Amino acid sequence: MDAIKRGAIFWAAALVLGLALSFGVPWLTSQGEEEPKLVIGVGDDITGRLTERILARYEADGHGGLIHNGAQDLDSYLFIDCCSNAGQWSLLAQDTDMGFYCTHISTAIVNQNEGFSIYGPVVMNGEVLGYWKEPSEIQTIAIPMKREHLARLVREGYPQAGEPREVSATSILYAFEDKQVDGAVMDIARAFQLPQYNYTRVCDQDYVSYCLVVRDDITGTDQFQTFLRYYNETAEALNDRETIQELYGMSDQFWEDVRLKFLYLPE
Amino acid sequence: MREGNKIPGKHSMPLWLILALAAAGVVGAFFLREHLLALEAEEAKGSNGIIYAEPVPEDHPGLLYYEEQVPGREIILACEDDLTDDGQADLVVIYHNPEEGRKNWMVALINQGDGIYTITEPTPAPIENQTIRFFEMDKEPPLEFVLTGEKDGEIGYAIYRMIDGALINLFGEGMEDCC
Repeated sequence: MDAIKRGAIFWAAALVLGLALSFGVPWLTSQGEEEPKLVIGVGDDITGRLTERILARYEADGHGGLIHNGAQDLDSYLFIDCCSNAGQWSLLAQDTDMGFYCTHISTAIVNQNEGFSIYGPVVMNGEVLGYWKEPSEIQTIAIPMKREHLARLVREGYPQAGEPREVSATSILYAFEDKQVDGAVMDIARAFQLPQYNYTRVCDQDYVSYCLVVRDDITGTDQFQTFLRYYNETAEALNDRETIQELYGMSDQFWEDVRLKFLYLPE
Repeated sequence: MREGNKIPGKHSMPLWLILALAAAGVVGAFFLREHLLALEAEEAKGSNGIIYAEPVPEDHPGLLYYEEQVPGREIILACEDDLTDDGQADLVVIYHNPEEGRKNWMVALINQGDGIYTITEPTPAPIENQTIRFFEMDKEPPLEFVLTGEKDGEIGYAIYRMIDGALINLFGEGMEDCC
């Protein structure tokens, strides 16, 4: 073997060594790292119920985690009310990677912070009007705090009621039950707690109640794509009247009136 | 003199050259890796995974019809899909009227066939970075579309559906700040 051949072999070996050091070592070290967990923030509302079903489906799935068998790589973070500071900070501080938020807060988050997007709407007609008087005769009406989109719908739909009174999302059910107001717009999941009262839809026209807000850097991950599949399967299941009625009760008339719809996200 | 019988030469590579080549190999591989990682990061940064509708060409029959009916408008973005579930492609058009100030509008052109379109009432549209995405959000016709855009950094987001011949915003947040 002449010197040129020896040189070529040496050069090739050096190149392989260089590639191995540059690509192989980082890959080997990454094998020991824990697979990142996808955490979704949800309020104590219909999106919380939706997430419960997604997680139940996820756990019941024989494949285990989103990526690996048995891996717990999807979890939820409950922040009671999406309009609370905790709800927004959990996403901004990266305690969560994505979250279900009402339309007002969704827009506020993507407007005030770079790197976040509204991935898509998730719930349509997600609120109900609980009423003591016929809706056309309501004089005082309560809405959950900071729900600008609901305030607009109420002003248009119930002009005789005057300016809606803002009440915290957690206590609106009690304000309604105490008859402090003639009617109250509340998340549909609150109505499940007091099924004996009268409820109807907030307005005749469909409207979006909640969206999925995501940190942009997660949308390309395998976990997120698999989450979308679980989400869409769950939405499909909950859009079946019998299934949702079996889970949350309420009368046939209730489900006929409210026209709740879980929306589908692009995969 | 012997023909075709090469005598092996003593052209050995100097040690310094071998070491330099080896070093160059390692450094080259390192920079290749850095370059690939940078490309990956750039791709992740510039995309939120959402695919938007492609604009139609300037000579699209719907756009020609619109320019004939409403001359003098600057077309900013026009995308097509079936908004009324009648099997015909309709058009969503965002435009600017040069006679107005900093204001844009959006209309839908509903395809009636034979090159005729019904034009909806104009609704305010974002000033810059407009995007349109058609999608079946409830898996029931008609098709909805998302309109996004900005004005001075304020992002607007709206979801429209054709209802009774009009474009209705089902989302109703943020557009007042970006239009």
